[in-house]
Amino acid sequence: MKGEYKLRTCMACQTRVEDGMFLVQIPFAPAEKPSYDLEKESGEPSIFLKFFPEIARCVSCNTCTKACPQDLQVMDYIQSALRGDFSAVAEESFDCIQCGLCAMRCPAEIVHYHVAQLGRRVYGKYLNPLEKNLEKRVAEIKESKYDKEFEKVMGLSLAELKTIYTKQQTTREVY
Amino acid sequence: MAKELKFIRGYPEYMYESIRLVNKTRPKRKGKLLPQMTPKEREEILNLCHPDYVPGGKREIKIGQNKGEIAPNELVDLLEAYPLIESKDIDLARIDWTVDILIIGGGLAGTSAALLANDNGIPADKILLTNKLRHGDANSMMAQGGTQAADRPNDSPVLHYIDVMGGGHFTNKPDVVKALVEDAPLVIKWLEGLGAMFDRDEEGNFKELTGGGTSRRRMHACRDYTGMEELRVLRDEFRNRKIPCLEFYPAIELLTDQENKVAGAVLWNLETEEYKIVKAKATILATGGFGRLHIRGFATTNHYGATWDGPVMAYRAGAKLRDTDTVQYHPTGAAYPQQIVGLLLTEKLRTSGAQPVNKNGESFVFPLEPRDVEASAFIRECYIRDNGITTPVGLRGIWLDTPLIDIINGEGTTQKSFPAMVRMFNRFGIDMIKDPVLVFPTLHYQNGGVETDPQGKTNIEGLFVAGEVSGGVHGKNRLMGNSTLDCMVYGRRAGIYSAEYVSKGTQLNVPTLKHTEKYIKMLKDAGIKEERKSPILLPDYRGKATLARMIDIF
Repeated sequence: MKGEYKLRTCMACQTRVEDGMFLVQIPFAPAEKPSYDLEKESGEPSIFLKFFPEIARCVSCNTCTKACPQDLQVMDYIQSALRGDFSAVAEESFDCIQCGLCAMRCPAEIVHYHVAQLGRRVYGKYLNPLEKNLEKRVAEIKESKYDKEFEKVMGLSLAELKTIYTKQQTTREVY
Repeated sequence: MAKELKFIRGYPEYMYESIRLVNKTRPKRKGKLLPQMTPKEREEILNLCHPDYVPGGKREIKIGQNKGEIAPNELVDLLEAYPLIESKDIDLARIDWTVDILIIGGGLAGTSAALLANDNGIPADKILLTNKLRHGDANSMMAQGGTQAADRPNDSPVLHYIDVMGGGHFTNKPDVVKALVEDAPLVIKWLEGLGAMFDRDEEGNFKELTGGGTSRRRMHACRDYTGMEELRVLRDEFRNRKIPCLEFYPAIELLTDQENKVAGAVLWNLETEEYKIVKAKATILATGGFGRLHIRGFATTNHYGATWDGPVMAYRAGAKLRDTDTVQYHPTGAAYPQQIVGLLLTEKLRTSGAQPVNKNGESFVFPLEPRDVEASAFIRECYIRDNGITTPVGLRGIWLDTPLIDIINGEGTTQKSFPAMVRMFNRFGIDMIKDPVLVFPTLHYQNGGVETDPQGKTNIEGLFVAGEVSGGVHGKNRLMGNSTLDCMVYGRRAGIYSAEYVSKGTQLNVPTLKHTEKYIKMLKDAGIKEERKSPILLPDYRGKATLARMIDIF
């Protein structure tokens, strides 16, 4: 910025354009990510330290939070991960756009956004029940339950299909 | 010096005067909606106001598979342009990567294709995903509203099918639509298993919403970050499996063999400007759309790389396009402040209760018509009835009355359901929870593209398509929540069927650029001068003053 002595890091797409701004591009944020197979894991709280032992090195400097263009409490969710609290990690990190600004500045070399991603996936997979309606519908489709109805509708003339469509639109759920 | 504008709550004083009228009529409008248009009224307003239907802006395609068909000038310009490379400049004897499946484009479609190809027997190191920008730098990432899947008891894939056909004015390919709606619940199930966090109620059931032209509530959302949540989960899985991935490596031309099968592509490194050759038994195009062509001068919701590269390359190889004459303008693009003009304000706002109103605070249209109809109604209100609000730079728009969302659904709903949007407006001092926001239609989506079949195959052997680049699924108008769905249904299908195609023992001859030589001859025979090259890869926003003094010194 004109008149400023400090170099700032930010996301171009998340920052308000201002007069006198000078932009230099950093093409990407390099980051290590361990591989894991979620099918072989479970909802054990120790999973965070298993794949990301470096989170124990967090010195609570809060640089990650200050760097976040989404105003997330990044350090807080790393602390939640240390406690194995999936729900808190998922909630606190949900708006993360994975830009990597947190990881670029962390003195402990934590890759915060990968930690959060693991937390949200475990939360989504193991801490939510299977959705009942969805289970039923998937089973119906696998049993070819709708084949006959499809055959009928796809065999209609254009005029007939238009009539059905117009009628269906009048019986719609709005809110 | 121009007179300094006074601002109230982020808006110039004169615009806020109009907001006062909106505030005044709000209690009366709450819970009261104008009736939906009849089919006849819909047709009339489309003919009157929709940019696709009004004259001008289009011309006939002179060469190739779709010769004689009409498309927007911006698209025909790219089809009637010369390739970036000529075969004499390219050493095809030196192959840089030999793989089974090359995927061009890493949004939801390309990433899904990679995962399903891998699930279906193609080892990770025999797949290559290449990106023009970064992996995930795609329109998918910016999708906000939701993904349709008919899974509630009062709904069915057949009802979904009828909505899609009607929304597309019955021009869709029926078998392609059937696959879309039947796979939809399977896609949601797949994502649930991978740990994607869809909005749920206290009991853990999905919270589902409706959309324009959608007869049942079947929109699965992840706040207003739906596409981002879906893609970051799939990308995480992709990275877990260590599937090779290139970034800043756009494809600039496909390769074909003697039998005209697609045999890979020529890639170009954006940084070093060197080319690389990929030989592949199957190639999946998942390059997305064309918002950055700014058709008819419209602002766009699309990301920086949406420049229609895929159809341009496929067309030269002989692929058939369809429905390229229609363009989707999303009704609610931001119209103020200037820095965010054109950016998407999700349809989910209207499905959650926000109403469009004019400068006098009056409702003028049912909030959830199909997108083309709704957008046309906004254009009529601004430019024919003159009931729009003019911004300080002279753009017009209408209000989207967002404070109704909290009034109808309870305090805190907007903050919880639309965190990205609240954040975006806050940067400009605007509080969308308390004040309405200004909107105008914005260029959003290519309805058509490279013609696909239910397996993601094109008319060219070895070439598959998935997602926005493909045509046939949405006919001449797409409904909300069907694009992320299209990407994943057809990404998965392209992955499965390209794996099957490869496993059958497909043999390739030597890759060549013969098809581009043929295409160049066609261009010359049609009298098209060598003044344009394509694909353009990136849009150019330099102003006239800058271009006037530009010199090429390298």
